[in-house]
Amino acid sequence: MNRGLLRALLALYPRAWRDRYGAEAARLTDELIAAGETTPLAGALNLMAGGVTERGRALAASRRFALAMAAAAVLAVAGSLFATTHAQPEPTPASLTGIRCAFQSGAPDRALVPAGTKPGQLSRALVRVRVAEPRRLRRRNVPGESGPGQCVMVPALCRAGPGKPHRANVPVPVKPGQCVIAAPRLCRIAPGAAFVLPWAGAVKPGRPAVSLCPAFRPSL
Amino acid sequence: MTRDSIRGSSDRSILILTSLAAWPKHGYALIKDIESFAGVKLGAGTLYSALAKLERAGLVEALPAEDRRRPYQITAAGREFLYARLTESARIAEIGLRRIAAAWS
Repeated sequence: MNRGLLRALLALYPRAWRDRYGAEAARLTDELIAAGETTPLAGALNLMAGGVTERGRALAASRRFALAMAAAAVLAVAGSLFATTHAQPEPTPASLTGIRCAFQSGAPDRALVPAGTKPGQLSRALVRVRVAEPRRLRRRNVPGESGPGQCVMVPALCRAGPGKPHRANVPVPVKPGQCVIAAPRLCRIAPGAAFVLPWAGAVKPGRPAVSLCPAFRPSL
Repeated sequence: MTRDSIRGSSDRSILILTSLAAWPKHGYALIKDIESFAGVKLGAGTLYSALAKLERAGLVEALPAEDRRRPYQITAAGREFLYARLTESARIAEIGLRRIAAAWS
């Protein structure tokens, strides 16, 4: 088959498919034509049909992804409604004291717990959550919804840093120097960090997560 | 790509898996074999679309190229999947044949 025509037909396929199978499909088409198993026209039409099929498949896959993101957004809104009705009183910034919090993936960050919190005491904490969030998610943020660099008020349930994180549903004591983490309701955890979201279970680095936080603060 | 989506697709996947069940084959050998046992003549585009889908589902895998041709072989998961599908088809065929026989008698 004419090289130019073959290239044009293979251009119908998604790039990833073309890179992986394009040369093989082109060679097989040539073999079938040479062996008299098919005609150049039939071979071209078959490649064209395959290209349309693969494009459709790629489109369907991206549509499924979009639907999954929409479902996550709906879940986040539902969580927000739930959180609003179950919100607990927050300490004011004046009543907060700082502890140092070392994240596994970066420089030490600052977490705030209510003033007077003693080492080993159960507490709530305000933590600046530094996450890499895709633009798509960021655009969907609404007032009151947390995002990169924003802070959320959550019970001190989790620990970030080297080692196995605590179970999400087991409160752990807050000590100065210990990491207490909170997560935005819909975020992508930065690679290298180990997090457990209080309401979403264990989340792998780089994976989007939905967390239903009971209360939010705009920033520290 | 899941096995459920393979399940819902045409019989091309089953034909390819059946052809690969005995030994690995490259594209041309696959087309000739399928034509011989099923009377179905696949084109290159159709074949590689189906192969791509099966490979994504982990049911077949590519072997290193030999003489510019890349053979494919069925995986253990593919064999399991094929066995389940063929068993199911055989069961339905048996029921259908029995009912036809009963209607004729």
